[in-house]
Amino acid sequence: MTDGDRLTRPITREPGKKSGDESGPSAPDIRKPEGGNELLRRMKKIDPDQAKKYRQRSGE
Amino acid sequence: MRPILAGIETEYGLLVEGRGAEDQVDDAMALVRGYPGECHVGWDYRYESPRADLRGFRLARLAQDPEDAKFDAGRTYGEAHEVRADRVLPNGARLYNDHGHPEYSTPECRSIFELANHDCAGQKAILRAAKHYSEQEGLAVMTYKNNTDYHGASYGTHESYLVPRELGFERLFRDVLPMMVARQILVGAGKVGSENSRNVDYQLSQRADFLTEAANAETLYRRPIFNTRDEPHANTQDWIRLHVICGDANMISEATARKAGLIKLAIALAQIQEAPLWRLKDPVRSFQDVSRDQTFQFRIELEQRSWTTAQDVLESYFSAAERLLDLDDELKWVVDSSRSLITDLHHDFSQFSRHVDWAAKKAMLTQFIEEEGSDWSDPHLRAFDLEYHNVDPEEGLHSALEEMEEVVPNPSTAELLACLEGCNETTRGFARGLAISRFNKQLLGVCWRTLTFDVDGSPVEMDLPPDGDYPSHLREAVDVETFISMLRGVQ
Repeated sequence: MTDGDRLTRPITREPGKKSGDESGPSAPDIRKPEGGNELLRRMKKIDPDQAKKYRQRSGE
Repeated sequence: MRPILAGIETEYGLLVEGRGAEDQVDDAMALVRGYPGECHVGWDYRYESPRADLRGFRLARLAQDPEDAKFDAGRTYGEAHEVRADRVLPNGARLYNDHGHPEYSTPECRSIFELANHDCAGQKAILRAAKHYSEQEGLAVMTYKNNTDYHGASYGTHESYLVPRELGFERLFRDVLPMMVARQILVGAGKVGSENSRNVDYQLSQRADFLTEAANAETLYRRPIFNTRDEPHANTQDWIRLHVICGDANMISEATARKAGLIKLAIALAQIQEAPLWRLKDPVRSFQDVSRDQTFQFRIELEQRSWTTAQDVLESYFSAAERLLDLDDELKWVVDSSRSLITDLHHDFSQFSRHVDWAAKKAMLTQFIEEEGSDWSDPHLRAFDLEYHNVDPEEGLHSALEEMEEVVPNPSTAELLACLEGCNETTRGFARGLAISRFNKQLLGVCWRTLTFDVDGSPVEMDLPPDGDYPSHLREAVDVETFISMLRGVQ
């Protein structure tokens, strides 16, 4: 990554200025979904190797 | 502003009990051929031009994935059109076998919500065909609306947007590309791990690992962010079909509508030459950096040692659109709801994850990791990732989340089945669908651009202008001659 200036707005058709704000947004607090009976029931049925066995032709 | 005509084509993953990727072309062909609903058989290929490039040249050939080609060693297939097994449905959609993937292409829609409904209805069409094939063969058949097999093979969900030819490659590329890179934070489908040399636990996009160039006409290999295929499926003098191949297949239907709406915003600003100007230093690297950034900064490097964020890029389109466009209700919804989601991303993730596939999937996987004391290397996670996209509502994990009201609901089954019966909007998809439901016996050829009828033993080809408003009283045509006469009146 470069250490240049942050642009919060696009380049204007005329030369624009740079804001230089380095703070950026903060990472979120990820909360897990509530409930879960139906989800867990289905998850328990899934073969953990399902994705390992899943081979596909390359498409578009 | 006039609504932009759009369509979505989705290649589905296919897993048949006891069969492998080397059998997939045969399986997909048989699955499509067995589609149990009403349909027209065949496709008119005369207007296809996948090797034409928007930049004014034609490729000698399209690149093939050398690894994938090994699956065909020692195998012979029939003629290309027979292998594709084309079916056209009474809603104007196309169902066929594309490189071993059952593919559903929606009819052309003006409304992003109609488009999302038809895209979701495609899941029902694929499921119907899969269940029929399963019963016929006595084998379990699973179909997945996703874009990767986690072993380096990808298959597409492509969007098409009809734009005037005068926009040209340069302007479209400059004005739409930043949106393509940024929108994944709201519409990515999410993926466990990576399929290139840069490891990551989880990322937003299923396609990012497979993008290697900013722009080219390829789709099977060396895939670009901006696809330059010049195949308008309409009068070439007047129209370009902007073919977007960098997006993911969405299980949340609302995300499908937003995905299309965001591109429409960029196109609309390009049309008035007011799209925000961002000069990305390395678009492919930025696409992959955004996809992999689990700190959610979503930094994008710009030319001249500057940088910005995906959030700022999106906001620049929103503010320009509000200021400069006469937005219809749908595009107002795109702007307002997207802004709210960006706020929720950082302040209320449980609300964000109700609307965004990558976030819903990540919340589900995070819960599993916490409850099982596991970590991101657990093979269960990729299995759950795959099963999130299982289109069987009795099996899929997205469907379970929908049932538990953890994600916003998709259209009802009744609404989706109605979508398969016909097209509500009076686009050329409506006319194509009516031709199939009413005059299939007289149809000699069908494609996106034309319908060819047998009238008293002679072929009559009707061009379907893509921007035409097809009258609803086409439904009342009593015979094919009247139908053709009505089509001639479409402007």
